[in-house]
Amino acid sequence: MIQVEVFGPGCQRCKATLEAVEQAVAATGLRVAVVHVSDPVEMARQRVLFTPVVRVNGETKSTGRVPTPAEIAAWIATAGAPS
Amino acid sequence: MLADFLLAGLRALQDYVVLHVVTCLVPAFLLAGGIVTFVSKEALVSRLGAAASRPASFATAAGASVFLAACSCTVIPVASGLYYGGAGVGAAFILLWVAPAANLLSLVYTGTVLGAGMAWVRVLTALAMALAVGTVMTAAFRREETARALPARQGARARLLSGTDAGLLGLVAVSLLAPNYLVGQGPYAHKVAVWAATSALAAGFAVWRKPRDELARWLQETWWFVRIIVPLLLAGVFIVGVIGAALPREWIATYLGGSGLRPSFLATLLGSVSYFATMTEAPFVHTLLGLGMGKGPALALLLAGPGLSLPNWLAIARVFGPRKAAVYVATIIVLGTLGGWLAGTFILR
Repeated sequence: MIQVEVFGPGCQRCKATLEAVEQAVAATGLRVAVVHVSDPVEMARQRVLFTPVVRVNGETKSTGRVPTPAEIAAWIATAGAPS
Repeated sequence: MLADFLLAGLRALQDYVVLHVVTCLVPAFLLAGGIVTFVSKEALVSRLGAAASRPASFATAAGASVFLAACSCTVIPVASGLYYGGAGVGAAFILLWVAPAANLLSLVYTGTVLGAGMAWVRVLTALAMALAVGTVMTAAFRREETARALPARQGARARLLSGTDAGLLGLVAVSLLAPNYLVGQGPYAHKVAVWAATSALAAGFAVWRKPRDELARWLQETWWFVRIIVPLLLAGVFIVGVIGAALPREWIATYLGGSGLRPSFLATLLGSVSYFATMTEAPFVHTLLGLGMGKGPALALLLAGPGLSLPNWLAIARVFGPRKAAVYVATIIVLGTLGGWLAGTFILR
């Protein structure tokens, strides 16, 4: 199963990123677990500085900006494709 | 009575927002968006984390924070990430203080609302306080700092900013500063004309030198700043107008008048408990000045207002531990009081 993590302390941009991820997940129709990390201690542990951060299967895809649903859908599709 | 308050709120909106939209807010947001898009965050972080000597890390932290147009919410993960990534406790707290207290967006807006003099004193006091905060935090947690093995990361240094991007940001800065400082007192139409000319120059340069997708990202980031800050600014300024109309003059003169230690202390305390969205502190202070607040306390409030708030204390305590949060808050209150008093007595007379 594909895992998408969103790191953000609850600011506007982080909420928008979370929404974009949910839209992207719905669009791909794949089985995706979305994890929202809002604890700054956890962010420090995982070396996340400039929020929002989007990770797909542990790989950082974007930092400090709100990606578009289309971008995220492409990341998810690539991660879900059988290699 | 109620209608009077509403009117006062609307008048404040007209004075502080409508008149400044084109010549101050639009270029300021474009500049903030440009910094987020074009300045390499990785390069910034590598400089902060790897700064070999303490003075170097203090200076980098303070300098970088001025350009991190961020509210207190965004800056906490940056500061804690740097700290746990190996940066010194002093540098981390400098970032935590300077980014909200003296970032570029609020400095520019302070300059437009309260005059260039106040903006200069604000940034210089904030930097002096930053130096002191860094020193106090490092001294107070000395033993912990030496125990923490600081990994010296030495890698290839990435570039902060390409030459083209620096030129573009420079032009945007000109379009921001020229209408407000070149024209000065003249009629508003002059300011708009200067703004239009300098902005056309910046836009031309951008279209000529930058690829489309980067321009799109820049505008997108700018739009984010607008969407986040403008509603807060509108609401904040409206409340400022209402408070200005509702507060009895005598109160302000009694508690915040003059430039003594006590009014500076009260202003610092007020500022460090309550939450001010970035930029709303300038019209708030301007209104209070009109009601008789002293200039020293005004500076103290300008600094502590956006720099600290009760939610901010709690977040810092959670991330860095209650002891560091307590030392930090106490230091800021003492320094803010002293800063307001000194500046009010010797500089802002």
